[in-house]
Amino acid sequence: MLSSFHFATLAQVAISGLALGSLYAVALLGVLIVYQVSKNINFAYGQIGMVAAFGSYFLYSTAHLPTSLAMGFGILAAVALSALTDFLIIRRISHRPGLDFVVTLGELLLLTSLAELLLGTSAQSYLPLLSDLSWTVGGVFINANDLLAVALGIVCVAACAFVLTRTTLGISLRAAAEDPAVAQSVGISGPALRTATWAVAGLLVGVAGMMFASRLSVSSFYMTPLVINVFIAGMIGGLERFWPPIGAAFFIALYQAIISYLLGEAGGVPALFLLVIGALSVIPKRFLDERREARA
Amino acid sequence: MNAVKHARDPEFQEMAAPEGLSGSEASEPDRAGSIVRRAWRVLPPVLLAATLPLILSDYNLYLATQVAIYAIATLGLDIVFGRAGQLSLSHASFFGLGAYGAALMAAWGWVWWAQIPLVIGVAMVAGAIVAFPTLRLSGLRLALVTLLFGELFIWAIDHAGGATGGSQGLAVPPLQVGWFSSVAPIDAYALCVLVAAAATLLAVQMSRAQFGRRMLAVRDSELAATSVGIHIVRTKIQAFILAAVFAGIAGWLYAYVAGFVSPQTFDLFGSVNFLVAVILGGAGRVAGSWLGAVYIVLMPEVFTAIGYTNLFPLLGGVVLILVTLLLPGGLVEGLSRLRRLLSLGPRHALHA
Amino acid sequence: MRASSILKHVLILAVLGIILAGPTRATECKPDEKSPGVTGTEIKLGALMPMSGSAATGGIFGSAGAKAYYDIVNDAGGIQGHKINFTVLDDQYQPAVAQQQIRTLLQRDEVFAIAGGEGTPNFLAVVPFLERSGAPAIAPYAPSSELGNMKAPHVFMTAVNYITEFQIMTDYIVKTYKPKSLGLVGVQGNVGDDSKAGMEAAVKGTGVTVNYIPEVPGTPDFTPIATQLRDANADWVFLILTNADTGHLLEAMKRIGYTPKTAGWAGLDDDDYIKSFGALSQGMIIAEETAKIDSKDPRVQKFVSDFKAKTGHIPGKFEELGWVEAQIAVKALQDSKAFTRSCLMASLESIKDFKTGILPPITFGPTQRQGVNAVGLVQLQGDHTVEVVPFRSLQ
Repeated sequence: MLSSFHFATLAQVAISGLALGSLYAVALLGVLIVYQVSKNINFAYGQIGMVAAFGSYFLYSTAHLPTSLAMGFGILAAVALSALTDFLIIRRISHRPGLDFVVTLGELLLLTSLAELLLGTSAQSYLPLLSDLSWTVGGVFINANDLLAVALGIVCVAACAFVLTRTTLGISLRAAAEDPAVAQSVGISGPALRTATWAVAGLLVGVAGMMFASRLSVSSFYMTPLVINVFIAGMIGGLERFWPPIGAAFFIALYQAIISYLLGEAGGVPALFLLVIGALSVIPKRFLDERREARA
Repeated sequence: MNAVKHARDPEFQEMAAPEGLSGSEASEPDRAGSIVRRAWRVLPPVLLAATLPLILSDYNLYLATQVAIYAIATLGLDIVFGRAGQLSLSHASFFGLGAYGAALMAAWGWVWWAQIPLVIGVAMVAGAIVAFPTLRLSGLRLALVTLLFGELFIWAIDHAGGATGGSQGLAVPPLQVGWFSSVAPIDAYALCVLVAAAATLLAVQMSRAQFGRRMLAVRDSELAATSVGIHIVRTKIQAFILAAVFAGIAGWLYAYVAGFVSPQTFDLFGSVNFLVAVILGGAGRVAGSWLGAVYIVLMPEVFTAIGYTNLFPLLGGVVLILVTLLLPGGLVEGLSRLRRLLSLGPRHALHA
Repeated sequence: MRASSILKHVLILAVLGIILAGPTRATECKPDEKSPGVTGTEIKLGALMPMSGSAATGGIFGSAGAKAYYDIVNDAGGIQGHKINFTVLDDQYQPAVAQQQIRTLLQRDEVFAIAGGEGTPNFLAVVPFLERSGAPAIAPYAPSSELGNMKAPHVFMTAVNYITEFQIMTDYIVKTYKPKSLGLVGVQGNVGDDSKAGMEAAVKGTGVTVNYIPEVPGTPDFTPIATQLRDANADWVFLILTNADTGHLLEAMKRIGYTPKTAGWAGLDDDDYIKSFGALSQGMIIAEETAKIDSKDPRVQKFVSDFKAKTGHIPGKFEELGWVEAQIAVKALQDSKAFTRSCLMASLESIKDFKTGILPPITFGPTQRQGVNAVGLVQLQGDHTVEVVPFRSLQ
């Protein structure tokens, strides 16, 4: 369904896509650091973000906490949950490759159902987080929430890039990932560092989750389609790299926004599908293999 | 993907060292003995299947029919995931393909014996199509691509509303062949149990044959498998195709027995349910697939009875976590451990 | 599009044609027939309603309203000494769940009849099984052009279908406000198609365009739909989604700076919706199928006071709906010569001009399954709705 072409609308769609891409990037950072430090994927990653958003919603709407306090507790809950996932579960199965997927899938089901049980199954409106503030500049409608999202994206990406490449902490993290035995022998504690990395991932997805909620609505399941896009960006760009997957995150968001604009909301799923199939056919085999069998 | 401790997989051991045989050719009494043993093992399920229609109400017989249908589909996922180690999150889509195929062909008035080869054919093509991009992938990437296929299927159903009824779903007229009607409880039960028995036999035969061993080899180490001359690509594609065919047939039966299809039955949660069934029951075991099917059909009934229908996924989550951490072989392993414990008990007491 | 909708009608006809054995004349009351769900002391009634998911407010409050009425009847001794045992199962507004639950109600719980219901796609899914089983369904709230006729003879409808509702509403808006183009966002399937048909019938010959966007219930992100609507430049947007989805769509529209005038289905005149999303819905024209709670009609006032006495609070719209569904079921049972399904059917067919105050007068007949054909209109002003057009039928 081709709608008529308005430049102002296209510009707004692009800004909105950029904002969404920034949030994807923030969430993706958590996936990247966890994968690069502990070689694991948390399939319940999106739900940890949901806990931050839905949890803070519960705190400010039912328990009547001030919103900033509620948000703070929400983030804390996400951080704790992510760290616990590593501490209680991942540590036990890290020597058995492939199980992390199944067990975190179980965590996804568990968190979704608990959220439904405690908070109901309807989607609820979340805090606006500046989405009620807007201006029209040159005919283009600009929403402050979009600008906030872009700002957060820039800050988080820059901070992560800086830490990973220029600080001792970052270098030790990557060392510990490469060779845990050697790292331990020079005093870098593998397990503690890993749990800390998972904790930071919880922080990142918590922030992203709350921003997503402000743009859509919060429910037990709202993060799933979003986090699927995040994983796809990681898959296309390569989970062992940094800038390519971040770029892929922005690309996917813009791509879907423009396709939806041109072809209607029915265009989103097949467009994503074609993108992934296309990317898989084009990417050379050596960039895809995530199991280095010869090393085992 | 090493989801299971295959080295201790009893079926694998059986293949490697069948009981009762020394190195030489089995003698006549031994072969007769092993036939008797096999008949003895098969008898209880056959007796159970035969007596259920006599003791169960219509409603419970319908549930039993559903168990048979879901067992067929679960056996399919066990082939591609439990044995070949390919994590497929599109299994409910193959199930849905068979179901919607039945609904559409019924609407177009096709005879039943023309529908079955078409369902099988479409399922084979679908299985090959899904298998193709996944050949070079594993783990998360494999799961994501199969998940996307699943989303595409739901999208297609939702947006072809004129023919498929969209998200509202489509009624399926009963399958009537002479005196047989797919909505008559006993008829439906008999048909589904027979097909499920055939599927089970097929799965058992396959696991004992070359193909079964090839799949296990692919699951555990593609490098090692290639080094002994196993054609990885062919094995993976065959596994996907078989899984799709099992699920497609199950879906076809489902449509005629339930009388209604709608996309929510065949979405991501549907695929996750099948996964839970395989893992909970015990990956790589035929009995495990049946136990898993019993779980996914009967558990929701339990939750509805206590008034908390939407708690069923919660249990699924707990199950996945606990089973993976504590009992990787699923219920089948749990039951055999229990059996060993009970049979070892008195002996331990003697030695104590 | 037309060919496929014809195909769908033919399909439903074929399905139900196979099932329909009897001729379409008045149902004969057979007092000696064996019917499930009736004992010496109780009659079992059941319903499927969404108690979770985006349509949950309809089910939760609808079942509360029905239960209140049955409780009052039971307190007074029941119907000829039989207490009413009313079970509600949660179908989550999903056809797949509903078609499973109807078996639970009819085969496992063996209810005598289905009384009430909330939602169209979920109810349509149970119709084939219902018809096969021969149980009557009394006044489910499932507006649809597929129901209310002899294609589904066991279903007695008091909910006006969306073709009629939207035709009346569109007619009023076109004549009063003279818009140039209209948008429609509706639940995909029967609901959206019927609403679109009603709107198109009303704008025929006026040059006003109707732009329809179907929606899948429970959609997480309404931004694409909002953008499409804005680009189609509709002056008025008509809404027929679950209440929660409606609210989120309006929020998405506001976020992209698009605030057209709006009109919606009867379920939006609900305190819960107004509390959550009233600010975004000011001036919305809403269809009215049940009387306003503050109506001067003495029957409505009696309902409000009886309800308040039983539950301690003033009823809302969905509770009113559930209440009247129960009221119709009880009347049919009271007038039934015996507690068998055929006698219940005969009793329902004989209902003529039954005035509840809540609904326009209800009339069924041997071949008449649509009991009500009138709809009114209200407008949301502030935190309550004001009547703008009283109950009227299509001319």
